[in-house]
Amino acid sequence: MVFTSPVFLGLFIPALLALYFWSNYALRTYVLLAFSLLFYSWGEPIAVWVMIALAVFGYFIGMTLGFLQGRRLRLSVLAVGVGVNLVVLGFYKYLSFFIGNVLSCLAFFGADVHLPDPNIALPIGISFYTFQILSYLVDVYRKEVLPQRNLFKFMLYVSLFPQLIAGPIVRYATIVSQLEDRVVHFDNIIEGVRRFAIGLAKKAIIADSMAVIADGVFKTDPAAVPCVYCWLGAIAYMLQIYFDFSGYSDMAIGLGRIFNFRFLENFKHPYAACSVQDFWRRWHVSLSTWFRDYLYIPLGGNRKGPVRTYVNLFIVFALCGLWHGASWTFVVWGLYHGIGLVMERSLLKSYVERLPRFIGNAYLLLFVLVGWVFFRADTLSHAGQYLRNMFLGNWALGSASFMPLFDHFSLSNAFLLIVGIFVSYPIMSNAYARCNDSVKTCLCIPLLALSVIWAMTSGYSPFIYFRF
Amino acid sequence: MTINKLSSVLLLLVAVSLITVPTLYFFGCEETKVVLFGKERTVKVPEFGRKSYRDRSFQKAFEENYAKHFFLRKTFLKTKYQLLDWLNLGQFHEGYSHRVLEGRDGTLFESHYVKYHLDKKPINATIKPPSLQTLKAILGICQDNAIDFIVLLAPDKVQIYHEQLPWWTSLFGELSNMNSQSEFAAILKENGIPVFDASSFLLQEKASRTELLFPQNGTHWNALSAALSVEKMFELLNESKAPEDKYRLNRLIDVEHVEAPLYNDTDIGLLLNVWDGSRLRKNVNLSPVYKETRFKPNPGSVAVFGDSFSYQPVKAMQKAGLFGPYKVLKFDKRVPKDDEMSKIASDLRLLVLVFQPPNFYDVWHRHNWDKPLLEFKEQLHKFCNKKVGSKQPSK
Repeated sequence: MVFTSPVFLGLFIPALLALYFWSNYALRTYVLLAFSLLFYSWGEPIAVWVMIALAVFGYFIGMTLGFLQGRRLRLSVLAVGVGVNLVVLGFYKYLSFFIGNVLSCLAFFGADVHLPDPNIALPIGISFYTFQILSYLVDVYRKEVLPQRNLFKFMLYVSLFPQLIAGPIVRYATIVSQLEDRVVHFDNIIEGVRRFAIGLAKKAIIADSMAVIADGVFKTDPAAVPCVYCWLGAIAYMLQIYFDFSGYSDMAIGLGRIFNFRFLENFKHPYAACSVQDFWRRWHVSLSTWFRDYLYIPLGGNRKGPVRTYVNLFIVFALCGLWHGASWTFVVWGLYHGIGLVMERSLLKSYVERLPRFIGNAYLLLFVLVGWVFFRADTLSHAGQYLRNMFLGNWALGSASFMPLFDHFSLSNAFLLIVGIFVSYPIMSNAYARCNDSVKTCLCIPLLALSVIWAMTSGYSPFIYFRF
Repeated sequence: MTINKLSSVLLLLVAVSLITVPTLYFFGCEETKVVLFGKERTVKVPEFGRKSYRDRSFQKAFEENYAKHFFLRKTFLKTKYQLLDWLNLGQFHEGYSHRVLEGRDGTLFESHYVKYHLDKKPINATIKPPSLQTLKAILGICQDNAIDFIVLLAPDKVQIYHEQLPWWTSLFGELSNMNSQSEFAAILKENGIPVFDASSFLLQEKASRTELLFPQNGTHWNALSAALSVEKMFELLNESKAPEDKYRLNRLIDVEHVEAPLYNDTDIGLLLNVWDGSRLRKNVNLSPVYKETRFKPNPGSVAVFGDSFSYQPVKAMQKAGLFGPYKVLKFDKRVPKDDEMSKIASDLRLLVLVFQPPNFYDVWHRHNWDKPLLEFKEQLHKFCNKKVGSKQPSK
């Protein structure tokens, strides 16, 4: 079930809100948990058991960590907890990829080995909820939080439907107190609805329109597409992925707020950044901070000299890329950003810092745009061809191969492309933030109506991050 | 109550109503299903079962059913498209595609028509023998049975209003395929097949008229160009079969407009003047030109065999009682079945074979038409040969 589907908007949410507000204080946690499980099982009727099993397992590991005292023993239990989660994640997400690569290597060396494709379906959101469980276990081990004693509340933390399948990755420490507090606040509901409306508009109106252009271009043979067309497709994808994911995050934050949860911001206008480092402070903040706190810093961070820092950065970004999907295109995308960061920290630091803001922003946009080509392309060779065409391709418009542009570039999409670029910068959101509450609410009323109408009358369009 | 509270309550009201009203579907308030664009199939309510839930077929079917039939869907759709209209963002065949180009003075073009004309692929002007032979055979059957036969090349807005194309189309060079339709018509004529090239005809008409022959924001010919064309077409067929004088174009000031139900446009319905196809949506006002140009041609049956025609409008016409003296059957590149053929065979007076731009030429050259034309010829032979010697119905 996606947030933009008619069933979610017209049935799931009304039913949940009616039951939630009608229930008494004690029952609300269970109503929310039941609906969260229904939400997940609707799309993953079998894999829901994997999530439940991992949640129960994480609960008992957390309880054990809270109970044990010896450091070694606790570390062993943590290793079991982390190991099981990673094995499950690896099995569902990376086994086919791993086998495929092993077979390719063997074939390269002349060995003729055949193995059946395990053909394992990837449970939606597994990367998100396993990372949440991992962060909980590590935090309990570090004694930064106390283990949750109530199984149902822990399961609610893992399976809370607004952020379950596409983030943001919520740390247990962030919402531990909110898991206990099921009081209904009128102001929270209003704020939540406003935020949901903004997210829905981003997804249903802008991201889905950009998808039409981006999909059209990326599905065309890049060799046959002039470079203007390639640039347009890459820019459209750049906007699509931002509005798709930040729209989802906004909806998740808004829905959470309605139920009295305060999730942290996941996007802070990343395309307004002026360097790669700045970009990663603004893009998918919950993931980048997760990698920082649970991988980069434990690896030594920047405390062990520049060479080790760069190695750590490469490891973190390669894994960050791999987290997005079992494909070399994602790994290359991650490494590409790792290289960008290392270059900025080592050779380009003084230049990047002295650049005028708009030039820095142009540099960042170009850097990110190239990265998105790897992210979106089906294979590395596809990405290579696409990039070659972007930079070295034919600029002539007179080619008949340019014609597919017409199939994807309608007036409304062109208009929304401009709107998307404008909204990517914090001009509008700053103006919105300066408004008082009543103005904000009045602005959100037509926006909500418009986006609900748009969402309910458009076809099925899943969020990009569902597959991660 | 403060303004803040008021606006908050209003937001909640809007939110609650937006998300709860659609659920009225489940309480028997389902809105009448009206096809907005193209054909829409009704999706059945799925049966719930453990197996169907596990393999997700129930969920998929349920979502599809709800998305197609929730209460107020039609209103939501109309609102969406109306908004696009207000923003001048092209509610132009949006049901078919989102492919609209804005030309000069706000004239809209459907992109694949433009694409066709800008395509630099060389066009082979030679008609492949199988289809040509079949067309000749169809002509022979029609002549033997006193049925008029004509090939109609529907008009192309790009060709007629090429000066209104977006400025940047000139970057592509010349419109290379601009004459292909008339070339095609010439080849048919050379082979003795009656043909009406509506584009060439309307180009001439345009030079002597101030009225638009295509709506500024639509791809189909309008009522005026359709009426002009049908007169010309009948003239080509046989002057005596042209509309009666009282229905002539310049005599139609007081003809009453008939409300047609909401269905998609097709050229031929309009051309034969039996259906108002100038509207994509119910609430779009008809132009005065349309009201002034209705006329009724002679009685009898007409078979229309063409590409990309929805069969739906025929049903719409029947429901609306818009057939007038004609019975019309249309076949969307689909060979008519026996029962359909038998409905018209006895009094078939006119067979119109329609090729519509921009794809007729490519379709022809890809041999897509060889088989259906051949099968259609067989059907015609089977049914219409039975009435050899029979008299045509009188006026």
